[in-house]
Amino acid sequence: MSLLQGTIDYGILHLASAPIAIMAKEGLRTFAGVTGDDPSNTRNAGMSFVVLLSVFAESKLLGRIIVGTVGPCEHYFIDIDREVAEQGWQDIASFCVAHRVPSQYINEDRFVNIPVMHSHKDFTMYRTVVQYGVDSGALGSVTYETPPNFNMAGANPSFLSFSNKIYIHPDSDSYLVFLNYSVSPDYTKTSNASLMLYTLGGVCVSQLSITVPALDCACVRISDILPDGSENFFSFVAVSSGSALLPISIIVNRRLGGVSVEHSHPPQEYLFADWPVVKRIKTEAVNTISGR
Amino acid sequence: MLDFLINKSFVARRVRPWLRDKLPISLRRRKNLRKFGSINELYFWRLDRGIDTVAPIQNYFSGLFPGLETATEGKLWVFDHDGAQITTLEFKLPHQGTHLVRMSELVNRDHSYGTFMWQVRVPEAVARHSLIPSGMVYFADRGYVCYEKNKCQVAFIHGVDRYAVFQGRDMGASSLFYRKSTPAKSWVPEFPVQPGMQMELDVLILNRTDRKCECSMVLHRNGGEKVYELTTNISPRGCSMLTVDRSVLRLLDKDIGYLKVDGLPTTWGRPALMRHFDSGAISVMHC
Repeated sequence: MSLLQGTIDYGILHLASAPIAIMAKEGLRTFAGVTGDDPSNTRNAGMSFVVLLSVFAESKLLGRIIVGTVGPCEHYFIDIDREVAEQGWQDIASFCVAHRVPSQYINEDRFVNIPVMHSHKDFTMYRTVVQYGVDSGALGSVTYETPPNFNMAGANPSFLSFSNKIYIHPDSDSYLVFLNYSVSPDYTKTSNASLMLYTLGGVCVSQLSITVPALDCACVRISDILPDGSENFFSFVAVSSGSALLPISIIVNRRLGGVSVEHSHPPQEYLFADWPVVKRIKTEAVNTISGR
Repeated sequence: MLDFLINKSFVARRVRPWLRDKLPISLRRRKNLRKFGSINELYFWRLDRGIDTVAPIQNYFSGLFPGLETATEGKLWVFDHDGAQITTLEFKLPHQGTHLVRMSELVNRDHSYGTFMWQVRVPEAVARHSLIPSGMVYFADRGYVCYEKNKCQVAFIHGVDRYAVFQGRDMGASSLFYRKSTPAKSWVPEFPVQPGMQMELDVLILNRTDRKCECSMVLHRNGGEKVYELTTNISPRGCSMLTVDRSVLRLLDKDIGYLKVDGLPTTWGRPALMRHFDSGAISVMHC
């Protein structure tokens, strides 16, 4: 597959996109499922897209692979490991972003200089299926998109996440993966996050500082930081000031080859309230946990 | 009435969001969302094929208000697939704690699947927080449910929509989030149905209204050709599990396909997909 050349329009690049952790180092294959269809079946009838894969290593863009096109009534998985290997990046690539760009904005291998007629609002809920699997085993998947205005330049984002998707079992590996991406060019902010793990009884049994470089991800194997115990289920709270992160929980059963993948919701999803109220509750929580 | 005036009157479409923002919050909200309280989701459970359903019910108030004492209590209701109540359970929830519910310990094996919901009472300190009553804050529990295969392999999924509204710290009466009838929705899951990637898959659909609904699930081949169709009637508070088995997947031959679900009764009540693999493993995802 060829690489995208020339000047990049970041707005068009993020009309429909999803950042993805490449999990080869943990023995998982990584796929992205794409379609030309609007999932709500109400917008953009007949539109087709060019599928791009921006691949990163150590916070640096290696290149943007032109994977192909996807049209209406068409759904398929991209084998990300294979795409990355074809470029010779398999030993270094750790992070990528799957983009769908309406076909009229790309001609062969570069952006076309025409007026932009679309905004992200035209493509809300255009999510990508992110799928992981073990060799010759089962597959697990989740759908999500790049959160709107994710770590946009000029904003002052923060991160608060709490969830329960941790499962400890001798046959299983439980991972929390934090993605640090931005819809703005020249994003370089490293995120310093704190992670706390709680028992069912609410006792904090582990605390960890995590560094998540920009345009990259950090993967925490939970059994590495948990004391021995008898419980299977744990919950976590994670915070960071100055940048937003996208948290993904992955649980791999090595015996059956089963994979569970799910994202966690940001706190605003828990609050049916006006934005200033939501923002204040979130800010107070982040400050309290961060000890500020 | 206000919605009607804004949406159907002479007000230009682009001005409507601005106008809505200028209104006091009490006028923007419908009647059952004008105090404070919580909004819960309806979830799917199953106890067949070696699967247990586990709800690790997290005290999400502790994440939002880590500086307050958020110890509280909760209640869980279990329904069969027709929406009839099977049982209830009350429990305590410590600050930063999680209450683990195993459906196999609550429901006998006469029932193989159904729906359930839980309510975590707004902790007293949160209810007294200055922002909560004045801001008419409703807490939407975005809970995660776990399907556990053979007591060793799990698959997590979060709720996708809203179901019951509880006022204040009340644990008893609730009203439906979707009180009015809305036009049936369609959903085309992004998920590619790719031959060889699973043995079978179940399409899970819930009805979060007080009316029966008829839903259909269609498997298409890429390009749009209809390959297989199933229709189901779902009772209020009930659910349906539509299986796309091996023989149906074989109809795709080597082609990739996709699903389309019609007749969804609520705005965001999208289906979930549970996949079964030859190894015995499962996975689940929301659409």
